[in-house]
Amino acid sequence: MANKGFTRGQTQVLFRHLPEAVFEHDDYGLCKVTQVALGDADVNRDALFDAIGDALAMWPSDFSTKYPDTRDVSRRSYYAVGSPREVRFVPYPQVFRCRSCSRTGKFTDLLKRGASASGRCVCGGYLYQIRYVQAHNCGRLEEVFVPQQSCSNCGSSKDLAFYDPGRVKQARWYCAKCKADVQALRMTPCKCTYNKSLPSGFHAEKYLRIVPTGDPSLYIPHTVAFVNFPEDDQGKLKNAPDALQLMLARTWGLLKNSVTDTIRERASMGKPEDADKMAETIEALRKFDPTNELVLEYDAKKKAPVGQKEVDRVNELLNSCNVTTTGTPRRWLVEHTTLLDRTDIGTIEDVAAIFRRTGDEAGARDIERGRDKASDLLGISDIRIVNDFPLALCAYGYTRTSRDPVRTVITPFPVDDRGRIPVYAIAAETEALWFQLDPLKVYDWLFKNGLVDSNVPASREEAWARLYAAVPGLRSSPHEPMYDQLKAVAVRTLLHTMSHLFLRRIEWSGFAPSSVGEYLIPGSLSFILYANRHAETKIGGLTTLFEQRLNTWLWDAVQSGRECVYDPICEDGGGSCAGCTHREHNCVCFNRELSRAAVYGGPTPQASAFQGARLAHGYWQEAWKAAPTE
Amino acid sequence: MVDLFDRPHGDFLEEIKAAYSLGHGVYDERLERALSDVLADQLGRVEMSIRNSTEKHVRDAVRPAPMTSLRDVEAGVPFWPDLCDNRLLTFVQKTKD
Repeated sequence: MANKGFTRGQTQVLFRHLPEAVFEHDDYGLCKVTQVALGDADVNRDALFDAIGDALAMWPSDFSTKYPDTRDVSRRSYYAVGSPREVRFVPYPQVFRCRSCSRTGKFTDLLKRGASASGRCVCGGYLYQIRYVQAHNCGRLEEVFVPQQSCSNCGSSKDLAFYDPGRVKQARWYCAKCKADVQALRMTPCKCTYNKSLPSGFHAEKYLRIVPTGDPSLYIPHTVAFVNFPEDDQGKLKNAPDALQLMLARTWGLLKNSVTDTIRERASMGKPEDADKMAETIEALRKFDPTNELVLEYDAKKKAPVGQKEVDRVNELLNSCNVTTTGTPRRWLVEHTTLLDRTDIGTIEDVAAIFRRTGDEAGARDIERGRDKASDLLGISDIRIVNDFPLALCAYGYTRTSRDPVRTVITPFPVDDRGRIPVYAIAAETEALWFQLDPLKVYDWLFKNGLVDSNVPASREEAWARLYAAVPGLRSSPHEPMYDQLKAVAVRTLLHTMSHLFLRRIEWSGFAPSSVGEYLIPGSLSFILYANRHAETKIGGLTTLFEQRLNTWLWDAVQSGRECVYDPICEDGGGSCAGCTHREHNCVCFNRELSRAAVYGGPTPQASAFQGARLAHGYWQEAWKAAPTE
Repeated sequence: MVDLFDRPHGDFLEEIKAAYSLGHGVYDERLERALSDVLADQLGRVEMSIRNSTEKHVRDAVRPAPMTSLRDVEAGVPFWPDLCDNRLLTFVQKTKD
């Protein structure tokens, strides 16, 4: 009876042992998690609710009604956020079958038959839990229906047996005493929102499906990752004057100093006591030496505070595109600048310099070749390694039978004792590779595919501004109308496809593709591949890949990205299927907005926003030039 | 551990390198050099953490704290039966046995 200290890691709990999950316990056999107690979680709640809101927007509005709106601050009190601290469970299912005579019954019925003390059937055979349950797309879970009627032939009510050939269609209930057939497995109907969305008439999905307890589709937890920057910093950054312009300037490469420092310096200039003291000192100095360097510097600073030149430039660029910059910066912009300013980032130049210091000229040249290839032929302006990527992962609900938002209703975890919906989150620092596309090349690609009208801008900063003006969908949330703007879908498809293609060859890092997650920041033309580990230790696989094998990996991914085992059918159908771009795990967009056509050119998927239209120009059209020469 | 560092004829770093198959032509030249540097650097850190520690046991002194099992990667979350019929728990344990 004593529990032998059954434990699981937090990450494992997050993916496999959240409420309503069925799992195998070492001592108690098949069990269902009833609740998971919450511990403290050091996560940015604003970012978390924003990320959940974006994730829930993937479901049709009818299928996510069980959630109070996470974008409404006043309704966030309906949620309780924390890390998994303790798991409670009950044995489940409670239907048992005899190994010898196949007699089957619910635990309550077995109690009546006096079998509970021994764990044996009336025939003396061993009983075991039936390893099937019923599940529906709406999240409903039921035990297998056990007929309650007596045998119509012999009248026995204690000898119901289950014939289990391993196929639902052939499984039968029968009387173990007289062998008379009782009935087939019941097709339990469901009256749920999902069924209402189906066309009238018979449809197999209107009934609960018999699922083996070990089937991964029985319980699919839905998680969302977000950059976990400190809440205080975020507030300061967002509310500072000209924060939006400063962050855009930083993201577009105009501002070299960190936004936090710039904002702090600008704020301190404005403090009356500091300004008074400084002014007195400078005025005293001015009398003595009016051309003193400090006096001139002070005058210049007074005229234009730190970052003002960049703020003005951003305003000028956006005004030329007829865009006015108002409002507070959005999460993507805060994320991008926070990553730039607050994390330990290694660049290709840093690594090459280290190699040279240690006398490894070949290594330095190799990684620089990778950089040049990425920049000239692949349209990637920056590749960086982030050694302390601040990642948080939160589980906000689950689906059954399918992962696809169109075919499932997302269900929140059962409310806790205080009536709040639990959200499970864990935060960690992990290693990550950060890619940023060249805005000039992206604009050029949009232009060549007829998605933007005007010619390619002259400089990167102009390209950033033009993209900001012409593709507002890139910085919109999924629930906003501009999100589905065709140009925005095109750029997101490009980023997402590149991310998946690089992940196809991520084995170079020592990680399996399923161990690496992706994070897209379309607004800054970025995507991040991170080691999906939520532990204190780092393996260093991505760091080693960046330092030692970047060139090889990039080229391998680009070359193999063209291939699909289902070609030419896949290529003709839009270049996106389980054989090429789809990922089994960790796809933030449920394998939507993917097409090899974006990078290599060709027809797009019929079901996409492009409706099968052909993209004449692939983003990696020139990549063949990177082929090794003899 | 300290003895290992102080052994008159032993070279602990070389033994570690051998454990990683360095110097046997397994890796290419660049990777070999990079791995050697990392090992030397990390051993230096471990050595410093041990020498400068007042802990009684080496396992408590080593920084970063070493992993003793794969389960150490993350703190375990305990599992407990929820409130339910005790007879059911006994029953499933019997059937499990």
